[in-house]
Amino acid sequence: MKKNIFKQYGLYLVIGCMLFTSCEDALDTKIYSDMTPENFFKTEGDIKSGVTGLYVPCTTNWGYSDGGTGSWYNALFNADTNAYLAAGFYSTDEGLAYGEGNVYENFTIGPASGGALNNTYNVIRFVARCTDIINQIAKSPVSDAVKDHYTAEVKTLRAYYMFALLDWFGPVNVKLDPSTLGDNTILPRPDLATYVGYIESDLNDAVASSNFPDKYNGDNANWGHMSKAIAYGIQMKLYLHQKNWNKVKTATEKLMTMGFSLLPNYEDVFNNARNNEQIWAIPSNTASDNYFVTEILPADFKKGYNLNNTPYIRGDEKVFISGWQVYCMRWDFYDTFQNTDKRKKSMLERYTTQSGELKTRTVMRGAIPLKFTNTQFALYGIQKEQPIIRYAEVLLSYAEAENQLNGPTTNAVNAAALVTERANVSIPDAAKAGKQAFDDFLLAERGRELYFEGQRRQDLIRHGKYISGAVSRGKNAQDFNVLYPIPQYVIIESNKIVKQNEGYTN
Amino acid sequence: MRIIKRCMAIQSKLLLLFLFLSIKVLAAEPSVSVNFQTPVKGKITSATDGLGLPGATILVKGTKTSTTTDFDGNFTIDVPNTDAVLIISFTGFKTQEIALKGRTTLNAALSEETTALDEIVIVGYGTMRKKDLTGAVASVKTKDLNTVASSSIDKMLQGRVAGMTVVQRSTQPGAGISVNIRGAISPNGNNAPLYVIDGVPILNAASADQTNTGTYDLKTGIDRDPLNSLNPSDIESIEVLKDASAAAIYGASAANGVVLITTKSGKNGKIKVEYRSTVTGQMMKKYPEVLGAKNFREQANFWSKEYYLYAQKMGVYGNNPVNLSGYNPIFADVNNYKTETNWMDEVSRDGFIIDQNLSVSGGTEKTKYFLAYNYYKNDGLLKNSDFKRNSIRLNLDQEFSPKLKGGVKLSYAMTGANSASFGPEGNGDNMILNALRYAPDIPVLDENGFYSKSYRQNINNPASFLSFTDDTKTNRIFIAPYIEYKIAGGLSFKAQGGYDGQQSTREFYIPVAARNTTVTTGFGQWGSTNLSSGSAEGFLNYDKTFNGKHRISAVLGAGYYQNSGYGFGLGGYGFFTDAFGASNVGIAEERSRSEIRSWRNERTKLSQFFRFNYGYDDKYILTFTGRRDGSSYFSENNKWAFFPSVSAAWRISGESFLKDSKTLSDLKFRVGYGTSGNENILGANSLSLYQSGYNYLFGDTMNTGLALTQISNPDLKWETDYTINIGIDYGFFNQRLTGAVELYQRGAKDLLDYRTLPSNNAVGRVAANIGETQSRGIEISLKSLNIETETFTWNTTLDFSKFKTTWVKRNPAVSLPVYVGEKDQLGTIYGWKTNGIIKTQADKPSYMPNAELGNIRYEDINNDGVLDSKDVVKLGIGLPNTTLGFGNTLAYRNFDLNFFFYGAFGFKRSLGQIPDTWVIGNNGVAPGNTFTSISEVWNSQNSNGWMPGVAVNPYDNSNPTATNDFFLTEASYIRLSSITLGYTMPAKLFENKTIQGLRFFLDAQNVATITKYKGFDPEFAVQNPYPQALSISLGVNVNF
Repeated sequence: MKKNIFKQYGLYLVIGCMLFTSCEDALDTKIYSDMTPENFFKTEGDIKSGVTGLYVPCTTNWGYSDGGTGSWYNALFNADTNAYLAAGFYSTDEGLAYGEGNVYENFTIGPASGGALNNTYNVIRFVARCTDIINQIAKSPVSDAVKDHYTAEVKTLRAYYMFALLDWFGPVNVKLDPSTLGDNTILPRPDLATYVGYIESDLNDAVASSNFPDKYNGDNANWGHMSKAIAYGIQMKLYLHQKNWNKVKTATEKLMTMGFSLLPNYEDVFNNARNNEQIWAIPSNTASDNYFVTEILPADFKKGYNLNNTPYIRGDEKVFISGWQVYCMRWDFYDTFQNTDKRKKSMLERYTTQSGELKTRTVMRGAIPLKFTNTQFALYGIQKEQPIIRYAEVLLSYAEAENQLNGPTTNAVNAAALVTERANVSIPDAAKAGKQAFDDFLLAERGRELYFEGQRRQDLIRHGKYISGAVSRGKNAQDFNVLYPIPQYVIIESNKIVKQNEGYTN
Repeated sequence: MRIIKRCMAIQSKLLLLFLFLSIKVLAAEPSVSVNFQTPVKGKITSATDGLGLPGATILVKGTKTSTTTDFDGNFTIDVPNTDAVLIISFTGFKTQEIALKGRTTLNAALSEETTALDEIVIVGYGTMRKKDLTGAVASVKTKDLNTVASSSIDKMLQGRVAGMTVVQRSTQPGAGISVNIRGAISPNGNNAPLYVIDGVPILNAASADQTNTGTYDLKTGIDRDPLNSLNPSDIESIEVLKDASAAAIYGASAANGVVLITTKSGKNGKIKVEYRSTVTGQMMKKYPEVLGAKNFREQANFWSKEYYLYAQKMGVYGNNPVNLSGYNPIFADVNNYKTETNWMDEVSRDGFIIDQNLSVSGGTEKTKYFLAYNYYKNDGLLKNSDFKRNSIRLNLDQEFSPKLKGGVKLSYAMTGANSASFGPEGNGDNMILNALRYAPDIPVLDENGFYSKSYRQNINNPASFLSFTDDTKTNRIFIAPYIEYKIAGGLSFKAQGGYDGQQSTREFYIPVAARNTTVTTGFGQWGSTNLSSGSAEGFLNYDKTFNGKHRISAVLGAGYYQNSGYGFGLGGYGFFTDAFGASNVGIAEERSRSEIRSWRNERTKLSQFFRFNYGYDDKYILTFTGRRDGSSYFSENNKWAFFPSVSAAWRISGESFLKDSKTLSDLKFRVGYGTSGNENILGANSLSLYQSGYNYLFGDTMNTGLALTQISNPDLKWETDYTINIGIDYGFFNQRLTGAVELYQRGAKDLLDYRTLPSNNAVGRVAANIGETQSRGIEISLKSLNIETETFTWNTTLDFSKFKTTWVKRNPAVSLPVYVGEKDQLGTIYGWKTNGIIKTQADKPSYMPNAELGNIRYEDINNDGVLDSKDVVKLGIGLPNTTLGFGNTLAYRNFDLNFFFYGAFGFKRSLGQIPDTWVIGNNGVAPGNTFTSISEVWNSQNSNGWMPGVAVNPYDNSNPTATNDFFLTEASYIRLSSITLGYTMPAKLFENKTIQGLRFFLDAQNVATITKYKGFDPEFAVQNPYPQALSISLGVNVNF
């Protein structure tokens, strides 16, 4: 009897196992911590988090790991040498790297250079992600007003990403049609007019939206989001790049009616969050540091003195936190500031080392372009927002466009004077003498006002002085270097359908 | 209920077939007739020690009458007449047939089984006689391994199995180990074999302690081997199923081979107590040297001047005349240093290992037990780096009735590992990296008693890492119960359950007092990971010989498997006190930086499997195997997979013309083909996903963001591996020389690759099955008893393997760079060839007009005057493709000596430890230290330097692979990995004493390495490796 029981149970066990084995329901793939398209984009909250993810390349913090490629990338506005913002400093007359051999400074960049080149190029994926989100918003069951708002926001952001790519690489094969997002065919690069048309169209749609807020300067919770003012600001940058002076004027004039103004004190622009001069600034706190000051402070830094002997201390007197000594301001450039220029207060030309020695320009490789003067913190990063578009640039751009169209008119001079007066300097009469003189003055003044804000490379290229300036510094720069090479992997994967920029090898 | 109904319908045919088979077999049970009987008495002893063998089986030949011996080896059996023949068998001993010839008392001494031919080999879901095997199976007994001074069985297998490549990832205590069998041929997948412990497939891919350290990159320090929780001394044997015909029974998990680990069981007989204690001292081998204080200051001045000349284009670097008026030396006085610190000395020490094993085993005919305890502790060569294990095991087997037996294997292990944060990669912030770079003229503590700061702030004080807490504790419990029921006539049923649970916590704390420059305000983290795998399997075994010639053994079964994992972690910055460490992360003040996270995953697999083995006259053997797997890991359109295999063998030595040959005592020819799957690549790869983690700061609030990171591919499949295996088993001189030769071709089809989407897509890749790779190789293994006399024996083992892994078919959607060949070898290193350095203007080739002196000279391979992707060539292979294990054991009277060599050949490695002129000279005021070999770097004062100088090579930016062969060197090596000398006390000393045996041994590990490689070690070619140890152990074995 006992035997039989075991026989029976044994059989049941086998039968049980076999039954189990064919229950397909047990084999559904289980995902616990990610969203699939089936369960996403149902509410405004979903859309908001989808849109938030698109901003990741805009941080000042180090960067992001892109699950779409499995690689890590520096963000655009990170102050490191591997990022878009910083790599532009020392290819110009304003900055240089402490260490020798920087490829941007020496104009030795090639398609295999990697670093900032690949990091910046990866923004092209975010153009496609914007396209996907715009499409998902259109399909989601939320109200039209909500759709309109977020679509305008995403289009503005997409326009900026396309502009950044244009700035470094020229027109590239961005994807704006959602039906091609999973497509494996490689598209050739569009021509310039078509590409500029893409950016224009996105920005025009954004500013036409009735649900897209003008700005968020008074709204701490939303500060950092794209706004209509930013869309106009990107228009300004795009048309400056294209030297379309009429449209620069239209965009800047629009911005001049939106309630922005210069702060009375230059240093406050960088020390105070969400101030009235900021059109687009990247928010920062301890959760997302800004490493700009750390990148520029010398490694033996304890305390700095600017021209007027006002001390600047970084960190606690007892626990020194110095810097990584990555780049500084060329003395030649520093010397273009007049001594009365208040903006000089935000730079250091001497400092005390941790061993108590005072270092001055005789031993310093360059001035320290501090910019953020109120940063006595214990941490490595500073928690100061990084300006990307601010009102001073609008005024100077307006002046430049007006000058190009009508010469140094009163309107042009007055707009520029708002900026110089704050700095406690005046526009020399010689500069107002004619169109070329005023244009040259504006280029120099932009350099001083917007120093180390990532504008210099674009400004010099627009004025045709980028390459000639580098050659005069002894660099082996050539005309084609106004564009950077398309990264090697892009050329390889496209089987050469994507053409390399002229002048670079493959 | 509805589900069950549907399933019934699907399964009904199979069930019917199964029931039909069972009934047939049950009905075949023969009846037993009763005759007149004569009793025979006797005692069965072991020929080795003369002790009685309890539980030996005595069978009257030609009948079903049998009995077993009692506790002392005595038996009584009734025979039909005194001319009967008795068959006496006992596991592990040679079976004897003795004719009674009228006797009624019979004493017999059984000798231990030594011939490999009758050896029982564990294969999936059962055992087989070695002579019935048709696939490639290697078997290793733990008693043949050197279990001294290593924490994991993986490490011990290095060189012991032909075709198994074992590479240590680091030498830190308990470090991770990469294992592959017959070449890693899945470029994107997991290449680790499946581990099955006592019949239960375990989770080995994921180490349980991968809690990440958030923004602070110290993750590398915790790379440890998950098999650390298994005490190597508990293991009886290891079988490695190498080809698909052997492994196919494990189906979708078996693509990379299967390692079957069997733990020890009790044997019936007297209680046996074994105690082994080993104490090991570890001495640091020569480590790459860095500059001392004065030399450091001189070199800092020298190289900063060199950089100045280069920047100003003076002297050899340009047309400007040398003018040093603008140059300020870093150190005005090179002799004016207060102290000299050897940072490696500060952070290192002599290592120490203590290994204590106690086991109690024994049993009766019905109950057998094995109980073992192990304590293992290794204090590593670096301070604050250790590994320890406490493990306990209980293996029980119980016979409930002649037909039913059951048992359980239980083990519980607690492992703990401390690491002061260093790892195999070491590109994060790392103690050794800092010890090599930190200025040697600065004391450990500054005048205020704080950890000092170096000239360059982001080089952290190496000693400050000793104040970190990085403590990982893992508890692992393993329970594997089984019952086995002999149904009838060679048919039996076994049900096997398994639970493997790992729970791991990592406590990590960077104190404020460490004054770490990345984390200035303290960082505390606490994380927990739980992994579990449960399985239930039921299978029928059938084993029967018909007419003495037809032997059938078969397995048919099914299984259910579920793996799940979850984890959580929290971390905070900003500690006002270090008093709590990570014990109270809640006091962290910087709320905006706090980290919280959790995750969960789950995976279910359902399987059916069979094996059918038919042998005719022990000469012709045929095996079919198959497994059908369904997995939740598989994609929507491919939920089920079937993996068949077929193999055959011809035992030529069983043929009449060889049967009696002593010279060629065994010869078997095997051939097999089979498939298996690699499922570990799939995961959620088939789905379209928006992943979290793309957060962004608006205003003062971090907002949660998601980004599209994956595009769906509902057709995604497992990789299918196939192997064609041809093997020869041989034995010469009455099995004194035995071994096997295997020839194979192994291939992976439907490779998981990423269909690269163009860079302008949101997602750069879609997982897809594209491409094919293969590996072809040969394996030779040999065991030889060279000399055997009364007092002296000499054994040799040799395991050799060589393979070549190549691409067969590439991903058509991905354009290959011009320099990559369609069918290149895996692991090929592509790059520019170099030809020394440019020392004079005249050395400058025409195609490098912008080169500077001191630059590497590249070769313009195609002579087109431009250096570009067309000049890229194959420079070598990065992984060994030939391995050798060679061991010798010599025994003379009571002494035994064993030495073991391991070699890996046919690969190139970049020279590690290249001096860094940048860190010492190009930071202006903030020099860091570098290697003494900086004297060999070319510069304007020393034209004999062979390494490239300070000038940046402008052509590097056009090198598409960023690789060249300047520092690449041949890395083949042979290592004398261990020498053991043992002395066994003469047995007669212990007659009738409590102590039954006593052995002392002295062991040296990692004795010497022969290689052309000039760097630190060819196995650990990283810039800042964990130091290597020479380990000397002293141990004792006592048997009670």
